[in-house]
Amino acid sequence: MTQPKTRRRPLIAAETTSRSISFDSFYRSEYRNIVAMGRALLKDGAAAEDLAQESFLAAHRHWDRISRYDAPQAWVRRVMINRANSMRRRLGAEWRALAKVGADRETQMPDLSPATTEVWDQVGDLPRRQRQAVVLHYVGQLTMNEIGEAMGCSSGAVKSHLHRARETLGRRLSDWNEE
Amino acid sequence: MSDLETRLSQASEETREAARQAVPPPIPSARPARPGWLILAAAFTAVVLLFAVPALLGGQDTPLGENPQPTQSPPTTIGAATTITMIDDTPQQCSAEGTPEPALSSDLPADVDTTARAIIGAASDCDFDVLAGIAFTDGSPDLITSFGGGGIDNLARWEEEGYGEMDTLVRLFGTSHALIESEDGPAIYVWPAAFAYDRWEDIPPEYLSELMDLGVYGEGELDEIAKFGSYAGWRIGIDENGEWLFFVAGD
Repeated sequence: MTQPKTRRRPLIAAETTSRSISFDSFYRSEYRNIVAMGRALLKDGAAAEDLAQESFLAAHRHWDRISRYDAPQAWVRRVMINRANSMRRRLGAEWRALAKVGADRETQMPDLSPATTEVWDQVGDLPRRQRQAVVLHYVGQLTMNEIGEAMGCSSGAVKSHLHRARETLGRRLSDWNEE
Repeated sequence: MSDLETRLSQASEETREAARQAVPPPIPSARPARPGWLILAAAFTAVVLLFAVPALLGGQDTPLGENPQPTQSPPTTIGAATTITMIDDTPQQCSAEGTPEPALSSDLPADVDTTARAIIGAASDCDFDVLAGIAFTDGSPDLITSFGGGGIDNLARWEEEGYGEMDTLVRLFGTSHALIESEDGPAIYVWPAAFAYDRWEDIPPEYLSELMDLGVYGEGELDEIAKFGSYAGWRIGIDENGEWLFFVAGD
């Protein structure tokens, strides 16, 4: 085989550490955070639990590598928001139909108050990136950098999404208050 | 704090509090978790059967004797007021479905081999969520895809538009790989090996044959790439630590 010559090119360095945590402790410590964000994104407790389980299952499959990251939870958040988006798109029709007939699936979580439900309904109507930024910021209580990591964008872009989301939500929620 | 901030904070706190009641189920094993959509589909079917069958038997709301539509069921009336329509939401076929699983070289480092296998598995299912996870790098920019970034979103969009990028991604792993070393960072394993040559003329015949047999390029496309002076077609890069760096085409 002819050996290709060595080439120099800009590289993207991967920051990994030798630190490794057990999946078990990671899963137990992060599960509820992911469920909370999933619930705000999907507005459905049982679906949020499914979403969290699928996200952690994906993490489990790749744990050898992910466990070396400084923040493995960032990986799970990334998968979770992508999966949430896919689930919303794929299952929107079924959810609407189920909601109409009141066919809620079982969840261990209590119902949310009407006021909170209204907030997530309005957030759910935002464009995808704005919706994700709001949920990661308020429910996830993440920094701009952490949100950018999860969304795959800069912290500046996150601020922009949040700003536009607040403008829209401020208008819509005040309308709802007046009704 | 503004009224909006208060409302968002209160809603978030209530949602976090509710989530604290969620009990993590047993740690996932090798058995795949039940996909949420299957549960929803089952629940939906049960609801439809519960309400629609009595209606059909009673002959009140749904006309009998009509042929069912293959892709969209007729509206089903439930009770007196609610009508729902079952929508055929079958996912688009994945371009990599049926693409033979490539045999990876046995001389790949374990980290690279693991990532390559993970990519092949997710690409074969067109599972862009998992691909996004694999592409995620801790403290580094995202996976590079063509045409100005966009990462996995690009791939998902192109696949949806019918360009068959997942098929390409899987097939590329069936070519020989090359190692591109660097003095200022980890080495990169690339597929196809032809990409590691600065000049098209230097690419060994066996690697050119691989490109021709790849099943990705149509007639004349490789000639167009050759005019560029080196191989600038689809290629994959994974660094020696197992980080997926790029899946790109073009300069």
